[in-house]
Amino acid sequence: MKNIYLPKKAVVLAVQKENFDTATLFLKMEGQADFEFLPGQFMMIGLAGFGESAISISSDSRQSKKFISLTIRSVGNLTQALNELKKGDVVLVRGPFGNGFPEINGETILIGGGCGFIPLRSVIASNVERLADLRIFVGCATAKNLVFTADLAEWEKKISVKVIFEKEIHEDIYPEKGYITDLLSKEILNPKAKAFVCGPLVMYAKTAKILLQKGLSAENIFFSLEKRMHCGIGVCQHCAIGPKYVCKDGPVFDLQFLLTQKYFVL
Amino acid sequence: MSKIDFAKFVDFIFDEGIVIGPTKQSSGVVVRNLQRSADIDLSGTLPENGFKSFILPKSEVLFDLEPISENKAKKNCLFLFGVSLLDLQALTLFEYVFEKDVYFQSRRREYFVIGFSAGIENDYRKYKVFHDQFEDNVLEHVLFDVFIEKQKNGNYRFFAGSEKGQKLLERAEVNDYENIEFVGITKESGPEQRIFLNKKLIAESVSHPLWIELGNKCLACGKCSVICPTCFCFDLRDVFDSNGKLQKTRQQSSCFFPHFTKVAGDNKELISAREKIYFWYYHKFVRIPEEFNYFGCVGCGRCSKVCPAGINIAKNLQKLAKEKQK
Repeated sequence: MKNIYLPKKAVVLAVQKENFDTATLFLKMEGQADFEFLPGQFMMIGLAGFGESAISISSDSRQSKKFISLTIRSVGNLTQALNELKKGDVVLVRGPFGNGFPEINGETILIGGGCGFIPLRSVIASNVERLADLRIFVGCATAKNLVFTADLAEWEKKISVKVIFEKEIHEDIYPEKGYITDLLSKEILNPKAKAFVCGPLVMYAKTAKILLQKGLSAENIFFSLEKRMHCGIGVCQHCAIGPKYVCKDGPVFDLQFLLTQKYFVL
Repeated sequence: MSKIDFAKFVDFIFDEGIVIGPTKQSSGVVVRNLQRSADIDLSGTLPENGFKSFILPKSEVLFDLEPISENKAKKNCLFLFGVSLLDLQALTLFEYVFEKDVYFQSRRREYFVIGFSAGIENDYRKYKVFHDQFEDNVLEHVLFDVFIEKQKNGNYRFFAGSEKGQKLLERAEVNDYENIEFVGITKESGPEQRIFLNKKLIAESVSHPLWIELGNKCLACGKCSVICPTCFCFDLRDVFDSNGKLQKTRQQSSCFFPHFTKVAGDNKELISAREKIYFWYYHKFVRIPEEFNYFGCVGCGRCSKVCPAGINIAKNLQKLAKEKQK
């Protein structure tokens, strides 16, 4: 019988510093040649003695047989230790877990708040040939907190990328400061578009409200949720949301389902 | 089946391995490791605790972390003896919940689950069950190895619920037994109606003032979830053993504990006692039925007995049901 709790070893191929508290680890794990994932899925990554944490995959899913990348913000003991790793270090991984975002087949609005942009990077990187279908919105506390700055600059050459900062104004980027919801409320959005949203929970209710007001339908609006997780397979109960589990049935849920959950009441 | 066969069987299992079963103590009947057959309590009284901590230990080592290696130590031959029907239902639920869990399954293969009923009438009065009845077709919907029914005339009937159980009875030279084939947890007539009724009741009651009232009463101590035979939340933790060896362990947890939903930045979702107690009821009466078409509460009433705030699960359900009728 397969032991679902037993992690695989993964070697750090390279570390890319994203900003002062966030780094991307490029990993090659045991059995990498058979590894597949969908953008929006996550891994349980751990270090002996530090436990495990659920981290979204940020790399191109078409490269999954060569490597994956996990972008990790230092917010606790484990994530701080992971941020200090160097090339050649070994981590423990399990996964991939969860459902991932739906396939891109038409206009899709990607809305990322802070390090919530991480799984959306995987969506974009895995769909570069469909880039014209995508519109990108990023909200961040300050320019210092921004992740994937080089990627954003690259994508901006081809498609609409809008970035707003909560605490500062960068005239060259956006003329006002504010939340991502301030940015969205001024936009004209295609009501037939899909929206993929990932960020802190505080931005979700308002984002949902704006997207609905702009005419998008609840079944086309997808949120990726963050919850404490231990098992990753819907048993330990930490990540339960109503009748479902974020680790197994999520982390991506459509708004239609989330509206039935009490803290998404608009 | 005579009393002699029963005594023979009990002596046999004490010779074969470790017996965990109900015994009478000054505080009441409790399940514990028994030294001799005379210690077994056969009154049919529902023990204060259940068998949960023996099938899902409070803490267990899963594997070594440095280097990663699985602990393949052979487990002791353990007999869970005198498991009431209610506790059997809880163990049956665990078989489904932990279907893919190698640790639970390997332990389960080493264990013998021996159910016991002291008689229908007796059971019903002493258990103070609020929604359960012993029915003819009950045994084919619970998982066990051997089940022993004490009849009114004082004789015992033996049932084998698995091949392992059959072999055990034969080794103990108990040949007069019936085989019961497990046909799944759901009865032929479909899941019990009360599963749907309670599910609807709890799922639709989120804004009901009852939860505010319970939130004010509840201390969020988690005693109910610790004693509950169907509660199985757990944490995975890296822990050093006494020799300094780093191990991945599983520890029983509770949705009432402060860390349960804690994520980065100290953010939590279940904060108030009201949210926690609703989450707990929701798991029992909505999420488990949704996943398994089975009840997440076997009606043992232990949670109400241990609750320092006097919260009674049966009364709360009745209250919601009564108001719904109005």
